[in-house]
Amino acid sequence: MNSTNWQDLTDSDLIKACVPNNEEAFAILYQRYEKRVFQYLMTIMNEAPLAEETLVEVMLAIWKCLNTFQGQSKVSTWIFGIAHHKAVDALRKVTRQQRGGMPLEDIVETAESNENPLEDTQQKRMATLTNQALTTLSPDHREILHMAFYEELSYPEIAELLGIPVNTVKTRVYYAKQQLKKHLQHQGVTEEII
Amino acid sequence: MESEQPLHTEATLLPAYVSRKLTPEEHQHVEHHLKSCPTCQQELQEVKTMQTALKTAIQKRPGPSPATFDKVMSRIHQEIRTAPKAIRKGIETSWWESIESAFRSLFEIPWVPALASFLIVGQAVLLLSVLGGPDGQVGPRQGPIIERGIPQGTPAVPIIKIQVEFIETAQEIQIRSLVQELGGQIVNGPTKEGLYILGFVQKETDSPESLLSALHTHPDLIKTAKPLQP
Repeated sequence: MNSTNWQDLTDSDLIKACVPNNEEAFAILYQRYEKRVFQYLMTIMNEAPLAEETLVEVMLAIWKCLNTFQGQSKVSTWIFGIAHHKAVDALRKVTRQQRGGMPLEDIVETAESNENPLEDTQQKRMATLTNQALTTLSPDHREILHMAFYEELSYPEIAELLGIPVNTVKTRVYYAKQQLKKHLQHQGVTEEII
Repeated sequence: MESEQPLHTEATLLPAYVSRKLTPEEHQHVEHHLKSCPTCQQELQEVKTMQTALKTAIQKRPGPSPATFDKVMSRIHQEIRTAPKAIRKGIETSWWESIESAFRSLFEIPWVPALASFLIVGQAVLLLSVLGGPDGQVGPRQGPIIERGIPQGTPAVPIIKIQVEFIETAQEIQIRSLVQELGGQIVNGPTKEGLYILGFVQKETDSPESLLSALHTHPDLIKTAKPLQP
Protein backbone atom coordinates (compact mmCIF):
# COMPACT_ATOMS: atom_id res chain seq x y z
CA MET A 1 0.00 0.00 0.00
CA ASN A 2 1.46 3.40 -0.89
CA SER A 3 1.18 6.78 0.79
CA THR A 4 -1.53 7.96 -1.64
CA ASN A 5 -3.79 5.18 -0.37
CA TRP A 6 -3.06 6.10 3.22
CA GLN A 7 -4.17 9.66 2.62
CA ASP A 8 -7.57 8.25 1.61
CA LEU A 9 -7.99 6.12 4.73
CA THR A 10 -10.20 7.11 7.63
CA ASP A 11 -8.46 7.90 10.88
CA SER A 12 -9.50 4.55 12.30
CA ASP A 13 -8.17 2.58 9.32
CA LEU A 14 -5.00 4.64 9.35
CA ILE A 15 -4.36 3.59 12.95
CA LYS A 16 -4.78 -0.04 11.92
CA ALA A 17 -2.27 0.54 9.12
CA CYS A 18 0.17 2.04 11.64
CA VAL A 19 0.08 -0.85 14.08
CA PRO A 20 2.77 -3.05 12.53
CA ASN A 21 5.33 -0.29 13.09
CA ASN A 22 4.50 1.47 9.85
CA GLU A 23 6.31 4.79 10.06
CA GLU A 24 4.96 6.07 6.75
CA ALA A 25 1.34 5.56 7.78
CA PHE A 26 2.04 7.17 11.13
CA ALA A 27 3.53 10.19 9.39
CA ILE A 28 0.17 10.69 7.67
CA LEU A 29 -1.70 10.42 10.97
CA TYR A 30 0.81 12.84 12.50
CA GLN A 31 0.22 15.41 9.81
CA ARG A 32 -3.54 15.14 10.22
CA TYR A 33 -3.43 15.92 13.92
CA GLU A 34 -0.24 17.90 14.35
CA LYS A 35 -1.73 21.36 14.16
CA ARG A 36 -4.95 20.51 15.98
CA VAL A 37 -3.10 18.98 18.92
CA PHE A 38 -0.58 21.80 18.94
CA GLN A 39 -3.30 24.46 19.01
CA TYR A 40 -5.05 22.61 21.81
CA LEU A 41 -1.78 22.54 23.77
CA MET A 42 -1.19 26.21 23.03
CA THR A 43 -4.63 27.10 24.33
CA ILE A 44 -3.88 25.37 27.61
CA MET A 45 -0.18 26.18 27.98
CA ASN A 46 0.13 29.59 26.42
CA GLU A 47 3.77 28.93 25.53
CA ALA A 48 5.05 27.66 22.19
CA PRO A 49 8.27 25.86 23.33
CA LEU A 50 6.39 23.98 26.04
CA ALA A 51 3.54 23.17 23.64
CA GLU A 52 6.02 21.83 21.06
CA GLU A 53 7.82 19.78 23.68
CA THR A 54 4.50 18.34 24.83
CA LEU A 55 3.44 17.72 21.23
CA VAL A 56 6.47 15.45 20.84
CA GLU A 57 5.45 13.56 23.98
CA VAL A 58 1.85 13.27 22.78
CA MET A 59 2.83 11.93 19.37
CA LEU A 60 5.28 9.42 20.86
CA ALA A 61 2.58 8.29 23.31
CA ILE A 62 0.15 7.83 20.42
CA TRP A 63 2.75 5.77 18.55
CA LYS A 64 3.34 3.56 21.59
CA CYS A 65 -0.39 3.10 22.28
CA LEU A 66 -1.56 2.47 18.72
CA ASN A 67 -2.40 -1.14 19.41
CA THR A 68 -4.53 -0.18 22.42
CA PHE A 69 -7.00 1.78 20.31
CA GLN A 70 -10.14 -0.30 20.33
CA GLY A 71 -12.25 1.81 18.01
CA GLN A 72 -14.90 2.33 20.69
CA SER A 73 -14.41 6.10 20.60
CA LYS A 74 -13.54 8.50 17.82
CA VAL A 75 -9.86 8.71 16.96
CA SER A 76 -9.91 12.45 17.69
CA THR A 77 -11.38 11.84 21.15
CA TRP A 78 -8.72 9.22 21.82
CA ILE A 79 -5.92 11.50 20.63
CA PHE A 80 -7.15 14.53 22.57
CA GLY A 81 -7.48 12.33 25.63
CA ILE A 82 -3.79 11.48 25.37
CA ALA A 83 -2.97 15.15 24.72
CA HIS A 84 -4.98 16.17 27.79
CA HIS A 85 -3.05 13.81 30.07
CA LYS A 86 0.30 14.89 28.63
CA ALA A 87 -0.65 18.55 29.01
CA VAL A 88 -1.64 18.04 32.65
CA ASP A 89 1.69 16.26 33.29
CA ALA A 90 3.67 18.99 31.57
CA LEU A 91 1.88 21.78 33.45
CA ARG A 92 2.51 20.03 36.75
CA LYS A 93 6.22 19.92 35.97
CA VAL A 94 6.44 23.63 35.21
CA THR A 95 4.07 24.87 37.91
CA ARG A 96 6.87 26.13 40.09
CA GLN A 97 8.96 27.42 37.23
CA GLN A 98 8.84 30.84 35.68
CA ARG A 99 7.43 30.20 32.25
CA GLY A 100 8.83 32.47 29.59
CA GLY A 101 8.11 32.40 25.91
CA MET A 102 5.84 34.47 23.78
CA PRO A 103 2.50 35.31 25.40
CA LEU A 104 -0.51 33.82 23.67
CA GLU A 105 -2.03 37.22 23.02
CA ASP A 106 0.96 38.28 20.94
CA ILE A 107 1.33 35.29 18.68
CA VAL A 108 -1.31 35.90 16.05
CA GLU A 109 0.26 34.73 12.86
CA THR A 110 1.11 37.55 10.49
CA ALA A 111 1.85 35.37 7.49
CA GLU A 112 -1.78 34.70 6.60
CA SER A 113 -3.35 37.62 4.83
CA ASN A 114 -6.80 38.32 3.60
CA GLU A 115 -7.59 39.75 0.19
CA ASN A 116 -9.49 42.57 1.92
CA PRO A 117 -6.91 44.53 3.98
CA LEU A 118 -9.55 46.16 6.21
CA GLU A 119 -11.18 42.83 7.00
CA ASP A 120 -7.76 41.30 7.56
CA THR A 121 -6.85 44.02 10.05
CA GLN A 122 -10.16 43.59 11.89
CA GLN A 123 -9.73 39.82 12.03
CA LYS A 124 -6.24 40.16 13.40
CA ARG A 125 -7.42 42.62 16.04
CA MET A 126 -10.28 40.33 17.00
CA ALA A 127 -7.94 37.36 17.14
CA THR A 128 -5.49 39.25 19.32
CA LEU A 129 -8.21 40.44 21.68
CA THR A 130 -9.74 36.99 21.94
CA ASN A 131 -6.37 35.43 22.64
CA GLN A 132 -5.75 38.08 25.28
CA ALA A 133 -9.10 37.31 26.87
CA LEU A 134 -8.35 33.59 26.74
CA THR A 135 -5.14 34.01 28.73
CA THR A 136 -7.11 35.48 31.61
CA LEU A 137 -9.20 32.31 31.95
CA SER A 138 -8.21 29.29 34.00
CA PRO A 139 -6.60 26.39 32.07
CA ASP A 140 -9.78 24.34 32.65
CA HIS A 141 -11.95 27.00 31.05
CA ARG A 142 -9.55 27.57 28.17
CA GLU A 143 -9.43 23.84 27.56
CA ILE A 144 -13.16 23.28 27.56
CA LEU A 145 -13.83 26.26 25.30
CA HIS A 146 -11.24 24.92 22.88
CA MET A 147 -12.94 21.53 22.83
CA ALA A 148 -16.51 22.76 22.59
CA PHE A 149 -16.11 25.87 20.42
CA TYR A 150 -13.06 25.12 18.28
CA GLU A 151 -12.94 21.32 18.04
CA GLU A 152 -16.73 21.14 18.32
CA LEU A 153 -16.60 17.89 20.23
CA SER A 154 -19.88 16.66 21.67
CA TYR A 155 -20.44 16.91 25.40
CA PRO A 156 -20.20 13.12 25.91
CA GLU A 157 -16.89 13.11 24.00
CA ILE A 158 -15.51 15.93 26.15
CA ALA A 159 -16.75 14.14 29.27
CA GLU A 160 -14.98 10.96 28.17
CA LEU A 161 -11.62 12.50 27.46
CA LEU A 162 -11.60 14.72 30.55
CA GLY A 163 -13.03 12.00 32.76
CA ILE A 164 -15.85 14.18 34.12
CA PRO A 165 -19.66 13.86 34.04
CA VAL A 166 -21.55 15.23 31.05
CA ASN A 167 -23.47 17.64 33.28
CA THR A 168 -20.19 19.09 34.53
CA VAL A 169 -19.15 19.61 30.92
CA LYS A 170 -22.37 21.50 30.20
CA THR A 171 -22.00 23.88 33.12
CA ARG A 172 -18.25 24.31 32.66
CA VAL A 173 -18.72 25.29 29.03
CA TYR A 174 -21.39 27.76 30.04
CA TYR A 175 -19.30 29.38 32.78
CA ALA A 176 -16.17 29.44 30.63
CA LYS A 177 -18.08 31.26 27.93
CA GLN A 178 -19.43 33.72 30.51
CA GLN A 179 -15.91 34.39 31.75
CA LEU A 180 -14.64 34.97 28.22
CA LYS A 181 -17.47 37.37 27.55
CA LYS A 182 -16.69 39.25 30.77
CA HIS A 183 -13.02 39.66 29.90
CA LEU A 184 -13.85 40.77 26.38
CA GLN A 185 -16.19 43.38 27.82
CA HIS A 186 -13.39 44.62 30.05
CA GLN A 187 -11.30 45.09 26.95
CA GLY A 188 -13.99 47.32 25.51
CA VAL A 189 -14.83 45.11 22.60
CA THR A 190 -18.42 44.45 23.51
CA GLU A 191 -19.78 46.24 20.51
CA GLU A 192 -17.54 44.38 18.15
CA ILE A 193 -17.96 40.84 19.35
CA ILE A 194 -20.92 40.53 21.64
CA MET B 1 -15.64 31.33 41.15
CA GLU B 2 -18.55 30.28 39.00
CA SER B 3 -21.31 32.93 38.78
CA GLU B 4 -24.40 33.85 36.86
CA GLN B 5 -26.30 30.60 36.97
CA PRO B 6 -28.03 29.89 33.67
CA LEU B 7 -31.66 30.89 33.80
CA HIS B 8 -32.57 27.82 31.78
CA THR B 9 -30.81 24.51 31.45
CA GLU B 10 -31.23 24.87 27.70
CA ALA B 11 -28.64 27.65 27.80
CA THR B 12 -25.93 25.10 28.65
CA LEU B 13 -26.80 23.14 25.52
CA LEU B 14 -26.46 26.05 23.12
CA PRO B 15 -22.78 25.54 22.15
CA ALA B 16 -23.55 21.92 21.22
CA TYR B 17 -26.73 23.13 19.49
CA VAL B 18 -24.67 25.49 17.33
CA SER B 19 -22.20 22.69 16.52
CA ARG B 20 -25.10 20.30 15.85
CA LYS B 21 -23.76 17.85 18.41
CA LEU B 22 -26.97 17.30 20.33
CA THR B 23 -29.13 14.21 19.97
CA PRO B 24 -32.16 14.73 17.70
CA GLU B 25 -34.39 14.86 20.76
CA GLU B 26 -32.22 17.44 22.52
CA HIS B 27 -31.91 19.50 19.36
CA GLN B 28 -35.67 19.56 18.89
CA HIS B 29 -36.18 20.46 22.54
CA VAL B 30 -33.75 23.41 22.37
CA GLU B 31 -35.23 24.60 19.12
CA HIS B 32 -38.68 24.57 20.65
CA HIS B 33 -37.44 26.42 23.75
CA LEU B 34 -35.67 29.11 21.72
CA LYS B 35 -38.90 30.09 20.00
CA SER B 36 -40.33 31.32 23.26
CA CYS B 37 -37.23 32.46 25.24
CA PRO B 38 -35.63 35.86 24.38
CA THR B 39 -32.87 35.31 27.00
CA CYS B 40 -31.71 32.09 25.36
CA GLN B 41 -32.02 33.69 21.93
CA GLN B 42 -29.56 36.36 23.07
CA GLU B 43 -27.36 33.70 24.61
CA LEU B 44 -27.43 31.83 21.29
CA GLN B 45 -26.14 34.91 19.46
CA GLU B 46 -23.36 35.31 22.01
CA VAL B 47 -22.36 31.69 21.61
CA LYS B 48 -22.25 32.04 17.82
CA THR B 49 -20.15 35.20 17.82
CA MET B 50 -17.87 33.85 20.55
CA GLN B 51 -17.31 30.66 18.61
CA THR B 52 -16.42 32.60 15.48
CA ALA B 53 -14.03 34.80 17.43
CA LEU B 54 -12.36 31.80 19.06
CA LYS B 55 -11.99 29.93 15.80
CA THR B 56 -10.43 32.95 14.12
CA ALA B 57 -8.08 33.52 17.03
CA ILE B 58 -6.91 29.91 17.18
CA GLN B 59 -6.60 29.52 13.42
CA LYS B 60 -4.43 32.61 13.20
CA ARG B 61 -1.86 31.19 15.57
CA PRO B 62 1.26 29.71 13.98
CA GLY B 63 1.63 25.95 13.89
CA PRO B 64 4.48 23.92 15.37
CA SER B 65 7.91 24.15 13.81
CA PRO B 66 8.72 21.52 11.15
CA ALA B 67 11.56 20.36 13.37
CA THR B 68 8.99 18.84 15.73
CA PHE B 69 7.88 16.38 13.07
CA ASP B 70 11.50 15.42 12.35
CA LYS B 71 12.16 14.98 16.05
CA VAL B 72 9.19 12.66 16.55
CA MET B 73 9.87 10.55 13.48
CA SER B 74 13.55 10.30 14.31
CA ARG B 75 12.78 9.02 17.81
CA ILE B 76 10.25 6.54 16.46
CA HIS B 77 12.73 5.28 13.89
CA GLN B 78 15.36 4.88 16.57
CA GLU B 79 12.96 3.03 18.86
CA ILE B 80 12.03 0.58 16.11
CA ARG B 81 15.65 -0.14 15.29
CA THR B 82 16.64 -0.74 18.90
CA ALA B 83 13.50 -2.63 19.91
CA PRO B 84 13.73 -6.41 20.49
CA LYS B 85 12.57 -8.59 17.62
CA ALA B 86 9.33 -9.47 19.39
CA ILE B 87 8.36 -5.81 19.48
CA ARG B 88 9.49 -5.24 15.92
CA LYS B 89 7.15 -7.89 14.59
CA GLY B 90 5.58 -6.89 11.34
CA ILE B 91 8.69 -5.22 9.98
CA GLU B 92 10.00 -6.86 6.88
CA THR B 93 13.63 -7.75 7.43
CA SER B 94 16.32 -8.99 5.11
CA TRP B 95 17.90 -12.41 5.61
CA TRP B 96 20.99 -10.70 6.98
CA GLU B 97 18.94 -8.71 9.51
CA SER B 98 17.23 -11.95 10.56
CA ILE B 99 20.57 -13.65 11.19
CA GLU B 100 21.91 -10.59 12.97
CA SER B 101 18.78 -10.42 15.08
CA ALA B 102 19.05 -14.12 15.97
CA PHE B 103 22.67 -13.66 17.11
CA ARG B 104 21.79 -10.52 19.01
CA SER B 105 19.03 -12.33 20.86
CA LEU B 106 21.52 -15.08 21.77
CA PHE B 107 23.85 -12.55 23.35
CA GLU B 108 21.03 -11.10 25.43
CA ILE B 109 21.47 -14.19 27.69
CA PRO B 110 24.08 -13.12 30.26
CA TRP B 111 26.22 -16.29 30.26
CA VAL B 112 26.47 -16.70 26.49
CA PRO B 113 29.28 -14.15 25.93
CA ALA B 114 31.37 -15.86 28.62
CA LEU B 115 30.76 -19.28 27.05
CA ALA B 116 31.64 -17.93 23.60
CA SER B 117 34.90 -16.46 24.90
CA PHE B 118 35.77 -19.75 26.57
CA LEU B 119 35.13 -21.69 23.36
CA ILE B 120 37.24 -19.28 21.31
CA VAL B 121 40.18 -19.60 23.71
CA GLY B 122 39.76 -23.38 23.72
CA GLN B 123 39.76 -23.52 19.94
CA ALA B 124 42.85 -21.32 19.77
CA VAL B 125 44.74 -23.63 22.14
CA LEU B 126 43.65 -26.67 20.14
CA LEU B 127 44.71 -25.06 16.87
CA LEU B 128 48.13 -24.14 18.24
CA SER B 129 48.72 -27.65 19.52
CA VAL B 130 47.77 -29.18 16.16
CA LEU B 131 49.91 -26.82 14.09
CA GLY B 132 52.85 -26.82 16.47
CA GLY B 133 53.00 -30.59 17.03
CA PRO B 134 53.74 -32.18 20.37
CA ASP B 135 56.17 -29.44 21.32
CA GLY B 136 53.61 -26.80 20.76
CA GLN B 137 55.71 -24.70 18.38
CA VAL B 138 54.73 -23.46 15.00
CA GLY B 139 56.90 -22.76 11.94
CA PRO B 140 60.46 -23.62 10.91
CA ARG B 141 63.04 -24.34 13.55
CA GLN B 142 66.02 -22.09 13.78
CA GLY B 143 68.62 -20.92 16.21
CA PRO B 144 70.18 -22.76 19.12
CA ILE B 145 69.18 -26.14 20.45
CA ILE B 146 65.66 -26.09 21.77
CA GLU B 147 64.72 -28.43 24.58
CA ARG B 148 61.59 -30.29 23.63
CA GLY B 149 59.96 -33.67 23.48
CA ILE B 150 61.20 -36.13 26.10
CA PRO B 151 62.21 -34.15 29.16
CA GLN B 152 65.81 -34.06 30.29
CA GLY B 153 66.97 -35.80 33.40
CA THR B 154 66.92 -39.41 34.43
CA PRO B 155 64.24 -41.15 32.46
CA ALA B 156 61.93 -43.57 34.11
CA VAL B 157 62.26 -45.83 31.10
CA PRO B 158 65.40 -46.42 29.00
CA ILE B 159 65.71 -44.02 26.08
CA ILE B 160 67.82 -44.60 22.99
CA LYS B 161 69.13 -41.31 21.64
CA ILE B 162 70.35 -40.99 18.09
CA GLN B 163 71.98 -37.95 16.54
CA VAL B 164 70.77 -37.50 13.01
CA GLU B 165 71.86 -35.18 10.24
CA PHE B 166 69.14 -34.79 7.65
CA ILE B 167 69.86 -33.79 4.09
CA GLU B 168 69.56 -30.07 3.37
CA THR B 169 66.42 -30.44 1.28
CA ALA B 170 64.51 -32.39 3.94
CA GLN B 171 61.30 -30.63 4.96
CA GLU B 172 60.29 -30.26 8.60
CA ILE B 173 57.10 -32.13 7.91
CA GLN B 174 59.02 -35.02 6.33
CA ILE B 175 61.33 -35.18 9.34
CA ARG B 176 58.41 -35.21 11.76
CA SER B 177 56.62 -37.83 9.74
CA LEU B 178 59.63 -40.14 9.73
CA VAL B 179 60.28 -39.74 13.46
CA GLN B 180 56.65 -40.42 14.20
CA GLU B 181 56.68 -43.47 11.92
CA LEU B 182 59.61 -44.92 13.86
CA GLY B 183 57.91 -44.25 17.19
CA GLY B 184 60.37 -41.62 18.36
CA GLN B 185 60.43 -37.94 19.22
CA ILE B 186 62.70 -35.03 18.49
CA VAL B 187 64.53 -34.39 21.75
CA ASN B 188 66.75 -31.53 20.62
CA GLY B 189 67.52 -29.66 17.48
CA PRO B 190 68.11 -28.57 14.99
CA THR B 191 71.46 -27.18 15.96
CA LYS B 192 73.27 -24.54 13.93
CA GLU B 193 74.84 -27.45 12.07
CA GLY B 194 71.43 -28.90 11.33
CA LEU B 195 71.76 -31.85 13.75
CA TYR B 196 68.78 -33.42 15.50
CA ILE B 197 68.75 -35.69 18.52
CA LEU B 198 65.98 -38.22 18.32
CA GLY B 199 64.78 -40.15 21.34
CA PHE B 200 63.20 -43.58 21.25
CA VAL B 201 61.68 -45.34 24.21
CA GLN B 202 63.51 -48.62 24.25
CA LYS B 203 61.30 -51.65 23.76
CA GLU B 204 62.33 -55.23 24.07
CA THR B 205 62.95 -55.55 20.35
CA ASP B 206 64.66 -52.15 20.03
CA SER B 207 68.37 -51.55 19.93
CA PRO B 208 70.44 -48.64 18.66
CA GLU B 209 71.46 -50.74 15.71
CA SER B 210 67.95 -51.69 14.68
CA LEU B 211 66.93 -48.06 14.89
CA LEU B 212 69.93 -46.98 12.84
CA SER B 213 69.02 -49.57 10.22
CA ALA B 214 65.49 -48.30 10.15
CA LEU B 215 66.70 -44.71 9.74
CA HIS B 216 69.07 -45.66 6.94
CA THR B 217 66.20 -47.07 4.96
CA HIS B 218 65.40 -43.40 4.21
CA PRO B 219 68.48 -42.22 2.34
CA ASP B 220 66.38 -39.54 0.69
CA LEU B 221 66.16 -37.84 4.11
CA ILE B 222 69.00 -39.10 6.31
CA LYS B 223 72.55 -38.03 5.67
CA THR B 224 74.18 -39.44 8.80
CA ALA B 225 72.91 -41.10 11.98
CA LYS B 226 74.83 -42.28 15.04
CA PRO B 227 73.75 -43.40 18.51
CA LEU B 228 74.52 -41.27 21.52
CA GLN B 229 75.63 -42.66 24.84
CA PRO B 230 72.80 -42.70 27.35
